[in-house]
Amino acid sequence: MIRKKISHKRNQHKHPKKDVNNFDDLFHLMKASDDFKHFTLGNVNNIELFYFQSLVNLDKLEVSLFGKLKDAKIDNLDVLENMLPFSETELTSDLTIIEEKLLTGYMALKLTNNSQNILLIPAKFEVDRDVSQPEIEFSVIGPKLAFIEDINTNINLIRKRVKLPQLHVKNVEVGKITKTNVAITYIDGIANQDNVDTIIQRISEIEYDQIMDSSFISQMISDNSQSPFPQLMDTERPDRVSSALVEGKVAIVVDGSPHVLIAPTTLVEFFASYEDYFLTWPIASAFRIIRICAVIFSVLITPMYVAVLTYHYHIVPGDLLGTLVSSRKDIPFPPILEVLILELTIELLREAGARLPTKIGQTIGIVGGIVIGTAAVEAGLTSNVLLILIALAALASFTTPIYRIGNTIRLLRFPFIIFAQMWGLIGITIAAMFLITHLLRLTSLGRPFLEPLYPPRWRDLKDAVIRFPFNIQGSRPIITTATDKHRLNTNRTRLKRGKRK
Amino acid sequence: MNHFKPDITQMISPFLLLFIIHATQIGEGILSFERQISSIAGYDSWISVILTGVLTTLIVVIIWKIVGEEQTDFMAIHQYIFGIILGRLLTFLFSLYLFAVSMIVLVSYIEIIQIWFFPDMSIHFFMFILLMLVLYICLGGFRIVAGFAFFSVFVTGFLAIFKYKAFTDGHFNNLLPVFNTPAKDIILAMEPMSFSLLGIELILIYAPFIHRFQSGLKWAISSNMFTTFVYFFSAIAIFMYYNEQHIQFISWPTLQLWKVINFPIIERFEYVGISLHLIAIIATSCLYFWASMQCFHRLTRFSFRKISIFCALIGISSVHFIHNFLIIEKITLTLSRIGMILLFVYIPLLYVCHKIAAGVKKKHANK
Amino acid sequence: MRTNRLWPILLCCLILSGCVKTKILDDVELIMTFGFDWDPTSENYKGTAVAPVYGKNEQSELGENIRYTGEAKTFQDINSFIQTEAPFQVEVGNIIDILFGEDLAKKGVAEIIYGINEIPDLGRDINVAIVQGDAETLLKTDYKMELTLSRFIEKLILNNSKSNIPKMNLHQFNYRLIGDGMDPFLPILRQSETSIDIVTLGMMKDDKLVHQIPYEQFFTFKLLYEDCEDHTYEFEWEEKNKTVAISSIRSTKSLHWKSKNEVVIKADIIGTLTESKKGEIKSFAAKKELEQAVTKKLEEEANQLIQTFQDLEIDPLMVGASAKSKFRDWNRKEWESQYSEITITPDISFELDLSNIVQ
Repeated sequence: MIRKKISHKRNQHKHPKKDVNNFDDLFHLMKASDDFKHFTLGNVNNIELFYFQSLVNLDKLEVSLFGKLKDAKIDNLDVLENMLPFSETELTSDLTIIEEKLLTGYMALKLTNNSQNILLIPAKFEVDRDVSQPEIEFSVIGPKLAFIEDINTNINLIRKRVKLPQLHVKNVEVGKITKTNVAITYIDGIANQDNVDTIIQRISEIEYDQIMDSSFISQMISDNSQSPFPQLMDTERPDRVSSALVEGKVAIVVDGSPHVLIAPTTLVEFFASYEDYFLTWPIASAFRIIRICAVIFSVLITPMYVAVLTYHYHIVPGDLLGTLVSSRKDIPFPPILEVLILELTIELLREAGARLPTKIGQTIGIVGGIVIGTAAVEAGLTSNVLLILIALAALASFTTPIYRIGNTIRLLRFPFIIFAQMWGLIGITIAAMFLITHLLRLTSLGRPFLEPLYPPRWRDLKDAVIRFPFNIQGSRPIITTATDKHRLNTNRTRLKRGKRK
Repeated sequence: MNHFKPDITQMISPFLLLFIIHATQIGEGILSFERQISSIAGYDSWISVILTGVLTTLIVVIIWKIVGEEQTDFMAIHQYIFGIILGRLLTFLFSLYLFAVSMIVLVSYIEIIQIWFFPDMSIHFFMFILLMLVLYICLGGFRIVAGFAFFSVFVTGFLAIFKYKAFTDGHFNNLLPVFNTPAKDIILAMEPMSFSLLGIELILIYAPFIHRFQSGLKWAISSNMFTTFVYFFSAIAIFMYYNEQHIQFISWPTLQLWKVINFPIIERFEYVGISLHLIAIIATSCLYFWASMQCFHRLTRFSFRKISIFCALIGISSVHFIHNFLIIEKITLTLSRIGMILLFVYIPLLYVCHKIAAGVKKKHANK
Repeated sequence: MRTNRLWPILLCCLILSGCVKTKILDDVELIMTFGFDWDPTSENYKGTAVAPVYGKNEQSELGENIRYTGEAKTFQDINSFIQTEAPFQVEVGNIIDILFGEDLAKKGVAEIIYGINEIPDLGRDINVAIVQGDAETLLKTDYKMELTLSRFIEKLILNNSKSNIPKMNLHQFNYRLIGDGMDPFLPILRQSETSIDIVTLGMMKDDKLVHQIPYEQFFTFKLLYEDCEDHTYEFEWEEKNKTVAISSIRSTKSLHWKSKNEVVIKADIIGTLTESKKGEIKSFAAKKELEQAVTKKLEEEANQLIQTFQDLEIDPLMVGASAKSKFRDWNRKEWESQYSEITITPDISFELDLSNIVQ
């Protein structure tokens, strides 16, 4: 499907380009668009100006360019280049560069003599929003900055935190039409060069016409793109990215995307909120464990309900039996249908809530949560026990700090429910085994996704399920295979003994 | 000797031997071995458990000696000693045995599921799903198989905790007086016991897949001892919980023990227990299946994927013939005999042959 | 592409052959109590099954029950007979009590117990009891109680087995029934005017009821049988003509073999004196006096109990099992012939703990 699209676009793309041989051809091509402006300037009207009105900041130009050029007598572009107070000017005759620059907010200056040389002046019209608070990875404690859609601002946010000349940024352009700028960021000397090379290679090999967001790249370069699990971490927090860079990971910043990708990553990292590092380690560890339990609960509770109520009435304790039987007394559906109806209702609510504007979204939440829930129970369509379980499961699935894995978890439930309907608890075990195997087979940049659980690596376990204090995490995680393994000298952080108290 | 070098991404650290060997050894046997050994040696049969453990540890050491520094595997050794044709034939027979074990482990557990859960379950379809799972694991390569085994050990470890009930409700008197059974019976009880400890013969297949194989000996021995301990612990628990006459009436004493355990949300633990134990069964079956496919693959030069799918299909159709309790019992018994001979007779013999062959060839080389 | 075509086929398989018989919780008849009686005329077992009826709101209604009866020679057959009366599929997996009528208990329960043991659905933590009279009449009477009948019987036996009688569930019953050198016992229930009580403890020889011990002997029996915690004993001090109560009793029991024919059952008891009714104990001498009196009384009772057991040749105290673990050449036949002649001496030591809120 994708392949078909690419070839289709390629044909379209090639067609207008083939007869551009000189600047005049390019001019004619662009002139078709109404926002392309062209006029002459200067005393002798020998300076020609070309630009896209929608891409250029005219205020800036009027002050500095038009004023100077009005009375100037220029017959050489070099003189003009030195005269103008712009930094990134470029003198070239290469048509591809000219085309590209014109389309990214440059202005082209040309003398009316027959020279093919063209001076390009930056006059970008910036429309990006300001740096603001993180929306989906908000933390109560700690910095409240999030990436925005502009690549330079994003790299600026990273550089502010990692003040190192060794922080390298490699630019790659992807997307046949969109020509999106992608910056691969890493710290030279810490990050493993193999990882960097793999990422650069995979990104430059991307064959697709449009790259609108980092998630496009994340899907295209992950090891197994059929998997529901994200194999590259995406985050909107600059502190998280900087911290990953220092650990020896590689960050991929994509122009136009407020989410930065981090690779390689592991499953447990998706359950680690960056806020964990702002809290003392016992508290942070407790929260992590709660989060992991919540996820397990969220995936398993409705399949368990189906399994127990459909096949294993034996394991219901006597005290609970009455409650369960009474709550299901008048319900006409078997447990599986009951569960599917409610699960789908919750998914509907979530989907509707996400699409609607915030204020209406809240109303929908209340209407859905309270009215539909109560009405469904009163109408005898679902049991109130199940309503509680489903609501809890939905709540638990939102505890994941990374939004993307939350989606996965909500989806995972359905195969489990089907297996539970087929063979009860045995079915759930089989589904769990398929899941474990799938996770075992996943890799992130060729590194095992389940690390440090499997293969067991004690050093990395220090920051997995339990976050141990900073002073005993003396080395960088094995998963990144960092060139410089040592984070700190643990001998110096050890508490001094024998001090008088 | 032609060396087989697996892909580096499929190789695992020797530490994981601790889990792999344990996972191979713990299968359906842990649920029923107490009855089998106590029917021969009474309640002194826990001594047989320990003796078997010691004996298998010896075999582990011998296997390490056979594999040696070059990290050869069964096939290479067979060809080295017996020549290409005979060597291949022996490897073929061996892999048939491995395949049979991997299937019978599944089939005999399906029997439990049928009794406890769904008497009307379609075995074919269930077997089909299980083999899909086995294939999914095995086609991932040895690293995945080992990973699955790794996780299964935690499940069996978790389940072993629930024998606590036997220590709170049991009668220690049952075990006394010690050494009241003739030594001959204790030795005889080692036979059913050794079927439970089978699984170390697989080391000969996956030896090349382990980094620094020689340093893995300590892990292999610890694993074998750990398994022995688990069996010992289990035997003591069950012997305390049932008296000698009672246990002979019970097919799966552990499952009956779980019947008594209840929690505020789970009234009957056995249903959870049987479901979770399936993980251990799949791990065992996968290790055997993978080993057997590895042999077939290297014997025939078919792709690993093709031969695995083909064998899985044979596995599904085999359920057609093995459905009766008695047949399963008989096949299990035969396989355990073969396994025992393989472990305690063939492998030491192979070691001796290997030594002799190495000596002869060295002499030739010197001349 | 190949996998794409495989999925629909797989899905069809799931729907077509993945189905197994469902037992949806609210669509089955959950039998929770089973009572058995012996019908001598037709030589059949008569089973009475009790299933709870849950209303739409559990709290608002009193426990209601529905009863089915069936007659057959085997447990399975009784079930299928019951199925003819029940609107839903009859499921026995949730049974929590099994009751035997007195006649059946006297005839022997082994046959039916072995039948029950063969059903994988059943648990082993099931309360087993004997009913004075017929189990059927006890189960078919309507009582005014908050719990359902099955839960009532379960709670009744469970709570009493913490204080008055030793615990006896299906596993423990099997253990004693099948094992050498031991005999089972079961609590005996009686239908009172409005409710159900535990009246006696029925001692069994193999699987037959042969003797009953009354409430007064419960404590002595439990003392000799196992360690106990938190018991109350009412002691009639005849010499001083008053009654005192001893509560929070903790005891430990152990068997000591002097020789092959002589065994001492030692029980060390610690208890608190309550309800002493001005029988002040202010000195060590007074304390000792009381202690000795209690010890003497208990030993007397214990002797009497043991004598009864030996006369009946039953061994609920599991002396035989202890002998088996002590002597290498123990064998069952020899032991059974000797049992009534060996000397079993109770050795009870009682220590008074004087702390209480009233001086």
